[in-house]
Amino acid sequence: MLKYTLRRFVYMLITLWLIISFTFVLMKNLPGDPFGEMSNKIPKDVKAVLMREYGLDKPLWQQYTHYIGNVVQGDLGVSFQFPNRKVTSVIKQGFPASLELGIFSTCLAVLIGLPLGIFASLKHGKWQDYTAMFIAVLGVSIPSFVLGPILSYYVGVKLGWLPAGLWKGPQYMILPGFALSFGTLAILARLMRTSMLDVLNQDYIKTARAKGLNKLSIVWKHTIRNAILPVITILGPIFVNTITGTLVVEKIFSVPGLGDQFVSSVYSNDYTMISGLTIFYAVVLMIVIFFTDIIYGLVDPRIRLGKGSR
Amino acid sequence: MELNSSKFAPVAKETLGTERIVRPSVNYWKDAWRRLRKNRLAMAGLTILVLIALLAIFAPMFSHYKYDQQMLTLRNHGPSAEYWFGNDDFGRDLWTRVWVGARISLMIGIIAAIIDLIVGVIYGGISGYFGGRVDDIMQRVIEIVYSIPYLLIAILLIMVIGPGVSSIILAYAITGWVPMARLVRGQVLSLKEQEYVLASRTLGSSPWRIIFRHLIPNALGIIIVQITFVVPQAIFVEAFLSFIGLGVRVPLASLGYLLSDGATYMRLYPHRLLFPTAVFSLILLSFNVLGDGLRDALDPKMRK
Amino acid sequence: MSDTILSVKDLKVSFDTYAGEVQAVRGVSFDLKKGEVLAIVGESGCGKSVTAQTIMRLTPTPPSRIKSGSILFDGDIEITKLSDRQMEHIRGSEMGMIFQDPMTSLNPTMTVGKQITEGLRKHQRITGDAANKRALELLNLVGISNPESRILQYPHELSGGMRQRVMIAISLACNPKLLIADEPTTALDVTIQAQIIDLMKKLSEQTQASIIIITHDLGVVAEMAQRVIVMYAGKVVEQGTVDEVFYNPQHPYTWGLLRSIPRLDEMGGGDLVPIPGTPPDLFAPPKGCAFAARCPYAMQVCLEEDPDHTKLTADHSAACWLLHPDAPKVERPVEAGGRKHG
Repeated sequence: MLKYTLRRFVYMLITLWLIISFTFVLMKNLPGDPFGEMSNKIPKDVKAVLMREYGLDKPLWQQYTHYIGNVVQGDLGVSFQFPNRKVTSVIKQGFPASLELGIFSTCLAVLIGLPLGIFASLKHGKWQDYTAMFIAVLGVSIPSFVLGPILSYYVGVKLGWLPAGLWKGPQYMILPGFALSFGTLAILARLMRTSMLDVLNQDYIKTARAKGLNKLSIVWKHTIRNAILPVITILGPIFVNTITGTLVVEKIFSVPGLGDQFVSSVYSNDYTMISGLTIFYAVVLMIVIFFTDIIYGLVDPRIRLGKGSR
Repeated sequence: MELNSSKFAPVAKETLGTERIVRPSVNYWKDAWRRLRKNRLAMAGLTILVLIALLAIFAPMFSHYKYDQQMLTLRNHGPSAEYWFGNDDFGRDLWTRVWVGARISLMIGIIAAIIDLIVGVIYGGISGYFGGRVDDIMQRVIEIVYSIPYLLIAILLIMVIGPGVSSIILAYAITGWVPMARLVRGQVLSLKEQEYVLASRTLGSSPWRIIFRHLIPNALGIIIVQITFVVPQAIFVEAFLSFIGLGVRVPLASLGYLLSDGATYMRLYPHRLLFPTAVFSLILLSFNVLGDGLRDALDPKMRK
Repeated sequence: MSDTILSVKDLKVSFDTYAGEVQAVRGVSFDLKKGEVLAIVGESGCGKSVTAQTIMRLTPTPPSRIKSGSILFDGDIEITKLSDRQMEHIRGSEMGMIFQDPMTSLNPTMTVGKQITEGLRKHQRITGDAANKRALELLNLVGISNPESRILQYPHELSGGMRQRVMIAISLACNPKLLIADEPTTALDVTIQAQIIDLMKKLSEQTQASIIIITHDLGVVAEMAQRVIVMYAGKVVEQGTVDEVFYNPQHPYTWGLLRSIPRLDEMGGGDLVPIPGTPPDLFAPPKGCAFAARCPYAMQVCLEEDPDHTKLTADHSAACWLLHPDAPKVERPVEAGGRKHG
């Protein structure tokens, strides 16, 4: 287990390093001058001072180590458009709302998706199965940026049942949360169903039946526990989906979160802001993926006890 | 019944037909097609896809209006007999624009599928076939690439190299091939242990010959199924990027761009969201049900 | 009370697949006495496993269904008529089952101890401590050393032979009256096979359980069973005591079976003779004797009419037209018998 954890940790570091380096390379290859359109208006000597201040006069590798050093210390730079705004302060401002939305939507997806998948698998081949799977196919086919506007317009504006936008309390979370979770919910339901059907065909389920256990304890103790293992492995990617989903959902529902900030920065070509936020997102996601890997290791005795390394 | 002694005469071996094959063997692909045809949902998906593809190719050709033709007097008009899907804020014909958009989306999907076929299949094939250390290293690379939040990286990349169809495809290509590579590797790993492959290897066939003549044709079912999931995924990526303003350049319109535009004006002009949404969701839905149907049809485990 | 624990009469089981009805078991009848070890032999797909699983009602319905026949257990319990809930009370407590592949028959995420005690706690409603004590006893009984530490281990930490011992412990947990072993040694290494057979033999003597052992290994039959049933294409073609069937086989299929196994006491002599052809398609079983197409002695009547069982002794019977008084006498190509048993 220790070896497994260490390996996962090293992978996480390598991935993060790749992302940060990639970001650095891209930033160095931005079209035009680092000072943009104002470049010509700035006097030469001022420019030189600025260059020195940003470390742009140093050789590339020094800039690179400097950049990495800053990131490691948690300094993600300043906004390109508004030099008085630090990326970290933007994160402090926007991240809580995004996190709330992300967690709410993930919970919704897990709490609806898994039972739906289990239900479908137990009714395999019957109409309930087809209905559940049709809902799931809809979920996979209707992305959040399509569902979001529809919900906001019909449920929020036309019917007026729930707030169509903004972020002022729990009821404001429902529509964006649902728009964001529908796709994830569908993926989870489909995966859980496949996994359940797979486990239900295993010999050890027959053993359990031969012991005379009732259906409920077979499903609960023997099937779900084994079927849920592969589902845990995709919780990481699922969370990635959710986070990227917040970008568009926050824009649609005017949620003042980090995703909304990110999209505005895209519109205003705020390169440094985007690269800083990308690194921040990457760190968050890597940590989440790392922990889901560890949870997977804990739940599966084959990994926990160190044999059968994957 | 009567039993007379003639009944106890031995019968000739030939009439017994010991070696007769009891059930006609069915060709794998014919069998799969027969099963697919029984799946009404998948067939509906296939039909809708063919229809949408035909419309995407021909509708703009036969339209009286060009996708970028502005008719300022018709701003934001709702659907009418002349303009079936209505007009946008420059009075452009939404019918033409939607089908031009569908054309771009489908094209992106197809190119993504080709990239997947080339990179994913070769990568997975090599990794699975050679196994051992090669496989180990290639798997580590995949694990790392897989955990990169690619949409974020894609956004960054497109901001630097500028938006457009080719940027979107490049962005997709960074990590889009990974699931395919994983699938093909898994399939090849299990196939290569089978006797006919061992036999071929013993006879001295080159690895390339074995990979391309034996392994990949047998993994074809799984590859085809994966392709039907790759295409909608790529279409989704395009729409996502367009939605946050990194899609094709105006006045060209992809479905993602139209969706984003429609969402902005949704409260005033619902028709501008409705039609692109309907076409977009139909494409994704059809691909997904077709993919599910294909998977059921091609899965040899179901064969009995 | 009779001394019969299980009585199967004219059992027919079919599977409904999308391609049609597969008649897996086409009228099987046999009795099992208390304390007896009965072997069912035959090729893969002859319906022996389906028969066994139907006795425990383990075949999933649908696609399988019992078309007709009766399974009378322990005097007056009609297995085919029980509700699912009633069946749950019999499975595991009155009947136990051992499966073929110990690598896949144990739940990978549950400790060995839990898997053994699970049935106990359900059927005997005993406390955790008592159940654990019983589990230790059982592990001792099946010859697993250090049961105290084994009980906390997961299946992947045990070897194949050990896992099969655990499987046996699970099936014996509640002292069942009937134990069904479905090819319990097929998936094991040869040396381990012998150990498991020895263990089962020992257990059959120690416990009062009646045992049905399903196998295609005639060595196992000779080693363990008192009586044997030979199945072909969903039917019983011959049955009798092991001596009768091995030393005086009457059905050409039994001859074929006996000739197709190697015998160590005949080194150099007696070539192995395979049975030509393949079993019939159970989608559309032939009208006459199912073995006719592969039988070297096939007659016109064999193609037209399925033979009934001809009773030879109290236990011994075979279903073959050659036993009809009008049939030509053929010389048995297999000299008397397999190995001596016991």
